[in-house]
Amino acid sequence: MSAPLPGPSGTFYWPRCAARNARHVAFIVFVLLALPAASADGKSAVLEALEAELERSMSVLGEEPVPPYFLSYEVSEKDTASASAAFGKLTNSASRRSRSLDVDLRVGDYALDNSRPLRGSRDRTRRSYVRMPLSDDVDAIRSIVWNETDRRYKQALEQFTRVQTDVEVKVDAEDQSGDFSPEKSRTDVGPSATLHAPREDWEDKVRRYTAPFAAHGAIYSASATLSARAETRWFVDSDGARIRTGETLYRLSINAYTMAEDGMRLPRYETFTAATLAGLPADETVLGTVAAMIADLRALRDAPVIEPYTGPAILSGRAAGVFFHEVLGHRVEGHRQKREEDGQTFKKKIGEQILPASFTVTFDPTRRRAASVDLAGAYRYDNQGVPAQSVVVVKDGVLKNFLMSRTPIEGFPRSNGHGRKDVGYPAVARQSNLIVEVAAPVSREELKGQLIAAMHEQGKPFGLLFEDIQGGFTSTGRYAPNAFNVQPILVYQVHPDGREELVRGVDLIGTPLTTLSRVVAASDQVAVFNGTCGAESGGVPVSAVSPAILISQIEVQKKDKSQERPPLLPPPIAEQS
Amino acid sequence: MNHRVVSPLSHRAAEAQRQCRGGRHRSFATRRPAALATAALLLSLCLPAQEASAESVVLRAMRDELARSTEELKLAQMDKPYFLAYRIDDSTVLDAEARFGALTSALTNRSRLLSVEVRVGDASLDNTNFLPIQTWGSPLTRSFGLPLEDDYQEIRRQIWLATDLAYKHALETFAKKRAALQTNTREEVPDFTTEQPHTSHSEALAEQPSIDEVKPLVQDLAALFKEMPAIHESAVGARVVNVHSRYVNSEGTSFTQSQPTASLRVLAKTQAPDGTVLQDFELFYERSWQDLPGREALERSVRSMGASLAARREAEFVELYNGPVLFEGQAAAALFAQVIAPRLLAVRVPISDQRLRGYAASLRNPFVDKIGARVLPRSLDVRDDPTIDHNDAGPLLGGYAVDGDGVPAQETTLIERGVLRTLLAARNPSTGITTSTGNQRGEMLMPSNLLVSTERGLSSDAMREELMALVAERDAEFGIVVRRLGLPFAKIDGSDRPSSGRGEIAIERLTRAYKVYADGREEPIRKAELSGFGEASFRDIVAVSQAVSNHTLELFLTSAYALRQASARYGTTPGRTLVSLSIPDLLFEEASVRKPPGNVPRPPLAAHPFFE
Repeated sequence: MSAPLPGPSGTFYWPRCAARNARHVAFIVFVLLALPAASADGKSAVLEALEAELERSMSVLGEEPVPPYFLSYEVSEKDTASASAAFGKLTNSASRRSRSLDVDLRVGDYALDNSRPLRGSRDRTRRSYVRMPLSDDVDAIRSIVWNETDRRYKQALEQFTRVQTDVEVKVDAEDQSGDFSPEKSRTDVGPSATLHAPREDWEDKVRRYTAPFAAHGAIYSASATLSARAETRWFVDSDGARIRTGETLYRLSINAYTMAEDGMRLPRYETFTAATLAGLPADETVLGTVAAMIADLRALRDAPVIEPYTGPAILSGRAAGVFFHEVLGHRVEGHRQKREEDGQTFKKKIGEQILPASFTVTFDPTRRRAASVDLAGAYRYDNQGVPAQSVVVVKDGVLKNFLMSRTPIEGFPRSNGHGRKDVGYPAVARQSNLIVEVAAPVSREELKGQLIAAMHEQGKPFGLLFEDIQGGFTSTGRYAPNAFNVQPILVYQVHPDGREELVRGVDLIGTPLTTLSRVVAASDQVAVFNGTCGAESGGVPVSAVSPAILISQIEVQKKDKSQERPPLLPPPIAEQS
Repeated sequence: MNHRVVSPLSHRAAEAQRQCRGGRHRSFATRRPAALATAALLLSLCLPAQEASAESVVLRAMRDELARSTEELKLAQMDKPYFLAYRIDDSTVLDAEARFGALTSALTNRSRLLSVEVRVGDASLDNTNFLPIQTWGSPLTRSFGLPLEDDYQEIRRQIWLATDLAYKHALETFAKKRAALQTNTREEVPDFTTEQPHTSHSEALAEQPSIDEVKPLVQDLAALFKEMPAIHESAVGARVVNVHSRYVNSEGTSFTQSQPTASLRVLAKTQAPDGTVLQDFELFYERSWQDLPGREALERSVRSMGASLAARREAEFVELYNGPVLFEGQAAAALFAQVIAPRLLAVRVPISDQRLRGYAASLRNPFVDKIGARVLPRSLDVRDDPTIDHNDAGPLLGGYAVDGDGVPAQETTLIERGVLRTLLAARNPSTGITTSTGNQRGEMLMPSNLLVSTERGLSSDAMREELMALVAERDAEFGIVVRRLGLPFAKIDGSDRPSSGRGEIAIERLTRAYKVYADGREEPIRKAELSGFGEASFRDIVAVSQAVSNHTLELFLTSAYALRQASARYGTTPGRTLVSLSIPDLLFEEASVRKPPGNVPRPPLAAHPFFE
């Protein structure tokens, strides 16, 4: 299996714990949710410094033959802390604060500017940002902003010339919409985010959370990380926007893996996400989870491997969330309907039925909580200064809308607050909190009953139940087949008598239109998957909220597996049975 | 612990102290009673004490797992390892950077990393010295972060897993190498040298400053650029690193060793009115933060560098110059480090897969064939000496007691009266070089302290006279003196290194170069680079100074093979290595200096906001 890197063909993955898998991008980004009650007096030295330099830049560069028509600055402060332990011993404990500057400088006009992708070009946007002073030192801030603006302006001029040539020499674009949407500018100076990270306490906790793994020699890696991030963003643009927002995110992740005798690596991941420190689970809850992880890992080693199969399957709420994120979510990101390298699965399907009439899918960054869990994909403003808003993408099974950044597409001229990015990348349309709602849910038992009925109907000896997943990826491009892959951790074979048996060794695969058309029912049990989504604008925190669903036919393929043997020597520790 | 600590470092101090207490070691309080005075001092003072107990726990875990692996590790019908080595590096890093008076980054980090070396086969033919097509390790290959806490059981667990992976990887590589040998003839040189077991233990750890001690200095030095309207961009950074290594191998060699360093970097960048990008730097290295120059001396350096950079904005170019060039101080050291130092390493041409044979051959060091030949003027001697930490010209930071393989440091005479005698080597022998010279530095084969000396040196005035005599001989208008070459490892942005032609060594640009006229007048040159310069040029040195100066550089071998070899042997990616040079000024009879070709960006459109 080749590495699923985000390429011009648009490949995405959703590593729940990217750092555990070298094939996935090695960053995990958290964002904030809560708005602690801090004073918002509307004054900010950072905003004032940015505004002063913005005004000066627009005025000086305005004298140039090709002046900028739009300029924005975003300073992001990330204040982070984390403590990690493995097998009961501390492996890392650190805190860090950084501020970086992103500049969006555009020459040309709203219809055609330097941001337009060159057609057929595989040039990738390279990450580019500048480190900023950690304090509100106006002189230092302005000197760095000045220097970066100058650099970006020269880059923009060069790129605009290329864009103009590209438009002249290539065939007409299918989508004739412009490059940037005018939006109403907001002034909203909210409180900064503050970090509450009692690291000494955390060090003790992560030691205790990972200690139970230590007695199991066949568990080759077991770690826990408690981390927190407070992010404050200052945004100004030449249309008059003046925004400060702050969000915090706390997270506990526990990862462990074992290996079967055949070399298959069997992981278990558990993550808890909260907007506040108090929102993290109590120790007893965590230790209960750890005990369950150990039991699962032991069971997985002995679980039988199943062969490629097609037939009916139930996806648990969390698995279904990732499924919708990959299959639907990435394909309704607005700019993908425009780029001619993209598959544009849904471009012409507005108004068409793509899911059962009982299904409604909303992307709602204003929603902070679901099923008693804080949502990671919440924010107040996107990275282009546009207020977060709820977007109904599928209403009663019918496709209604796309997720929009300030890059317009035909028929969708305005942003709906989904222009997102990580520091250093240009913003594109990205997902927020994906929320699947079903008009007539059934109970879990009834859903399982429907699964068994489908098995009988199709003459299948068993069905599958995907209980937990680690993530997934999809390709939305035209070069490679437009497929998705969801990587399960816990899969059960459901026998005709209802018996559930743990199995291993398969990934869930398929193509989007076929698979969506086979979604038939959903249960009343809703679950949340909080994760980080990686794509061309970097890693952004997202959530997926979904009930468990029944799909009448899915396909599974063999999982990529290492050819390594398990360790030759027994562990140098006393094994606990 | 009753202290409430806030800064990250004091936090670590608290952590370290807890560890001290948690250990069985009791002498902590009595040995260093003053340590309890302040939280900030706890770390540095606690560690040596902690060391005694940590040493026993960590080394015991290493030795016990080494014994078990040596005894029992074997896959079915395959070879047992014939050599095993473990190294555990404890690192503390403190890094702060400021721009224009404001702090932009401040961090401290502590880590403990394990490297494992496994050899299968025997010393005459093993899994090393081989360049396979596929060099990425198995899917499970990873760096082995160990617990920061001295826990015997957990350290053994990680060593066990790492050894298992490294052994399997070694077996695979050995099989591939044997397959490649079916179609390759092989130099009859063994793969591993025989060395005597050696034990060397030192527990010294330098005192570390707290990040709060470092911050004001970098901020204040960075603020000096507020006096310099001609400089567009600047940064001042400090980095204090201490690496404490523990090593054991299956031959009975073991060592513990600390290598602390403190450095301060000042970087500045501007554009001339025509847009030419100009950069300069100051770099200071010492063993400890306290040994760095005092604040006033640093301020003088920063101002002087700024003034020199500002002067270059208005200076003229030299379109093309062919004639004598005098390299003084840092410029002589950097030139020698870039052109000659890599040639002094006995890098062995590896056995390779068919498709990489051309690449493997290109790794051949031409100096391997020059042993016994004159490579420098007869007046020069070159030695590598890791056993000293200073000479008359000041401190030398490339030294150590034992190298990364546990081979004792030793002085090596490399060039005698201009004639190449031998090359620096680690434990992989090459033709004619059968023992290690003790130059395995971390993951890389590297020089330590390179001492270039002469018995026929001239005074600085005489050097200048010699230059002007050569100029007069040619009826030239001026000669050229170079006082600074290249840029430090960390660039403000982008690279400013000329691309090298085929077979030509890429030498960094001449950062500070001056035209010297017959009347002694000097004029800076805006920006210049050497053209067609290589190791053969060094034979045309016509004069060297009696006085030497010392310079420390961070060297990084960029050859992909060197990097692969290092990561194949140790499973970790090598970093930069500190090498000190002690070198006289060098006068070359003939060198080509030219204006760097290519386009230049426009100067800034708006004025600097602070100076507007």
